[in-house]
Amino acid sequence: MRAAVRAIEYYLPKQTLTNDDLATLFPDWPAEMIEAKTGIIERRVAAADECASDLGVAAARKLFENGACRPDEIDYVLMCTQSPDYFLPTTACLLQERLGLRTGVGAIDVNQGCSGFVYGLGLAKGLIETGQAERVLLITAETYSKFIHPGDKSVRSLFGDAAAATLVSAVSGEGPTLLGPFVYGTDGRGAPNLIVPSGGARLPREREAPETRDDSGNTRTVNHLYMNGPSIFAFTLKVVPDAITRLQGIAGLGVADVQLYVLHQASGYMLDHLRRKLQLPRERFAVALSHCGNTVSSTIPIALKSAHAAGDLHAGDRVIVMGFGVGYSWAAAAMTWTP
Amino acid sequence: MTEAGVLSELERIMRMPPGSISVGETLESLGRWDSLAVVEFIAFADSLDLAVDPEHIDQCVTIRDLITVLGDKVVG
Repeated sequence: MRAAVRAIEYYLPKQTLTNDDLATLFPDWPAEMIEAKTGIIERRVAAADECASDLGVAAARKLFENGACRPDEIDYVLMCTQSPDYFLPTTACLLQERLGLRTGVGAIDVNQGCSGFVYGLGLAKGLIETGQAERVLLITAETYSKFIHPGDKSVRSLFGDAAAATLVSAVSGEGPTLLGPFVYGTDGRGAPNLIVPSGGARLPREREAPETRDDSGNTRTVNHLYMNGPSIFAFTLKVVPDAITRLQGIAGLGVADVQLYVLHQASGYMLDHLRRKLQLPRERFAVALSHCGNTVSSTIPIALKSAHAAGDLHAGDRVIVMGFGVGYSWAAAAMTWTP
Repeated sequence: MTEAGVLSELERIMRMPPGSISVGETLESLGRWDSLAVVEFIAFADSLDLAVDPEHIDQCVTIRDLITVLGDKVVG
């Protein structure tokens, strides 16, 4: 039994935050510069009463409505999010009820960010190829906007809210692996560089947390997302090329064998530098963040879906995906596109 | 990479006119050295095949300090 990605759908909240909106809020941050530096024109923002489960339900319903499978055929739900509806219960349990799935399904949350989709693929493959499940619904959903201080233009410019629903299912018959190999990595020394300090057990959320302003004029409190851009960038330059090279070596793939590279859509600037560093041709390197921003664990499935819809991905194409970021955490995988 | 080449790249990063930066100037006085500029400097170093620790950049006060970070990648 082999596991394969069979369908992807995604959902973006209705409210937009455009570069013109940001330029109005931050007069020293003109719209043209925002697009030039980030590659983003607009990002979506969840409504005040819209949580990760709402986005996940919407994405999953698109999957079902487009005929990927029926709800009763799902036997496991993996919900990757760092903005759960509640600390407890598990958001995946809420999804089971709201999507009308059978009660005889497994459902767990995976607390992971930018690498979460690839980690989810690895977990789904394990469940399927050990006979524990046949159809895994992998949901990636984030509402980072709820952690972002309105006065922090650095992260407001980058992050957008979204959810993706991916069906990973068993494919019968013998043949080469359709999902894998995988390369994983973790370096907890990077934890302070992308963090919401308060709200967990380590530091309770402060109702009247004092504001701080950094050297670039960004305002935040301990209740808000902090990102050390330069450190994140340096980390990316160190781990991404090594992981891609290692993965290709394990898989026996050269650049010419891979039809599409889909890296985490962190920012346009970072993607452009990585593409040139990896010496990858532009036409085989996905860039799909202009109208949604950095949607954390949903960037890769959104890019895959967009490539397929644009006719840039065909059945049998070899694809390399890699997520990297918060943690620090990273994961890369090879897959055969099997719609 | 020459020292003049580094100054030219820093002028591009900080969107300043050619010839406007000298090695003795402080980064603070230029008013354009922010986290985005640091990211682009890291990318510039990477293009020279040099991995720079962002904490070393944080310790830089002058343009000369930035050039020193690049080590033997800068000649002349």
